[in-house]
Amino acid sequence: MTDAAAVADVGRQDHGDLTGDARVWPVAAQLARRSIVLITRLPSAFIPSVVFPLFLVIAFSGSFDGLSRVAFDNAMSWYAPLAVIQGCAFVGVGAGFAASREIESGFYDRLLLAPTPAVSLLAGPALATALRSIVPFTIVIVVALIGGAATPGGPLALATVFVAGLGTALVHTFWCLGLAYRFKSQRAAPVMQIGVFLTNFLATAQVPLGLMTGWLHTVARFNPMTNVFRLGRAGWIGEVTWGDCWGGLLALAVFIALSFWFARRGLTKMVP
Amino acid sequence: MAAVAADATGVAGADARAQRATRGLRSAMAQVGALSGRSVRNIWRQPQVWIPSIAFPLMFAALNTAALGRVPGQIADQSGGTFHPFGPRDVYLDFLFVATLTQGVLFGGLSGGSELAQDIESGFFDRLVTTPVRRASILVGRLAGSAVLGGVQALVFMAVFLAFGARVQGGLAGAVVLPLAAMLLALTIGGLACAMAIRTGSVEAVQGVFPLIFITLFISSAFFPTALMTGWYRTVATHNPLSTMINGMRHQVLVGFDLAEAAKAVLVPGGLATLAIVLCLVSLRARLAQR
Repeated sequence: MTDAAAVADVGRQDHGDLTGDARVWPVAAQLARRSIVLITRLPSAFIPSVVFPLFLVIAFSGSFDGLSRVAFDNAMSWYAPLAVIQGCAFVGVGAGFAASREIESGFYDRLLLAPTPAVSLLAGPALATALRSIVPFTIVIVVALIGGAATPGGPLALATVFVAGLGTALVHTFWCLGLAYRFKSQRAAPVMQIGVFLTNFLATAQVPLGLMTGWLHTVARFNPMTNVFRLGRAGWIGEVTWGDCWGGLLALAVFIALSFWFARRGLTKMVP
Repeated sequence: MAAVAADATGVAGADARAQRATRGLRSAMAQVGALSGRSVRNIWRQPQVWIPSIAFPLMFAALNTAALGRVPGQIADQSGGTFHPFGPRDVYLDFLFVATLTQGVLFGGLSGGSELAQDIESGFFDRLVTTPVRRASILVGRLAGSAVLGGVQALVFMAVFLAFGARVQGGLAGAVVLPLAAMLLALTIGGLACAMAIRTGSVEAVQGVFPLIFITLFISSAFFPTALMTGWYRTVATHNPLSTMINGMRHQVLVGFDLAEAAKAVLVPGGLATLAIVLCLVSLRARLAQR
């Protein structure tokens, strides 16, 4: 059975006895399963989201180790959450790439024609992103801890960075799906990638706010990603406090809602 | 009598050989000129090739300067004014100048290889090798395009950094070293990319070199002084040939003109460029032997 037929089949089986909303999840689970299987079938599409954060944590903590004299105590502790968040963001971008590829190849047309709720086409990639995000998270954390990262906040530090990474991954998944639905081409790929770099590096990705000067300080101060990085670093740079977490949680909730709306509107316009 | 005739024949033969050699050299120069011109025009006509290799490094420079601008002064203050790893002026913009230049040239240098791979994919390369054009001219033409782009990038970066307050302490002599090193570095990367293009015939494979270049650049003294690094990372960055070249170029900017440092800045990419060109020629010979 082809992937599209499997998705349609799940839709048909559930059609008689489930409400529209309840049918979303079996289809989403099928789409997520397919996305996970694609990791082995098309590793070149997934490898960057593993290699890039790994490189980021090693290169940044190695190159900017000297900043521990003026900005923070432990470079690895500062850059590990960045690498997790960036890696998870790229997992979300990967979902956008996959959608663009499938729109170009015509596979998405078959999904749209299947008797399934349209929102499952958003829930499926979101579920897959959540599962795929575990990979960069685990790899970066293991490397960071081996490399000397400290977690003054204890095990809670792992929870804060995972929540920040997962939230960022979902934001970028919906944002990139929205772009894919509008561009309907893989030419959207650079726009998707640039989004990650701009939102992250115009925040406190590289150095703390106190070290920045001029325009970057102003932009980073108002960039909601600064709050997300504060959430991700809670427990890595000092203890976990509610004051460090609520801003990031709020920013992620708002951005997930907005990017979901963006993707939903794009999908609605695409449905024949 | 016979000896005189033999001498005359010998002289006539030598003249003929000299004339043939001159004609051959002129012909080779004309071919290199035509193919170099085509390569440069190709790059110029595709702004999507050269604009990112100038715009992105400048964007990152703006970001890094705003993020790390205070660091040199703070580190100098901590040491009581005795430790200046970012140069005597403690200005991060000056320190970053050579890094930005190197970053732009490394990324732009790939364009020559990508163009060659495109020629192979489109069949233009096969048509070219069936003509009586010298094989080496095909490569020299491509590499000349990369070198010209590298030189132009160096001049653009220099103009932008000087406009924003950077200073080249080495004066005119120091300033000349920078585009020269940039052109040689572009030749190195262009050569490696061309060798990859000839071996694989794939644009995608050439673009696949990009992450390797990125890693080589990052694990060097480009963005932060090796004196502030620790452990294995410092060891690798210190012994990275790119660091030797960057430090040589940086000396001209931060301290002043120094012949030994200038030699490092030029000889390292020069040596690497020679190796890359040899690799290119070997790859070309292997590809033609398969035909």
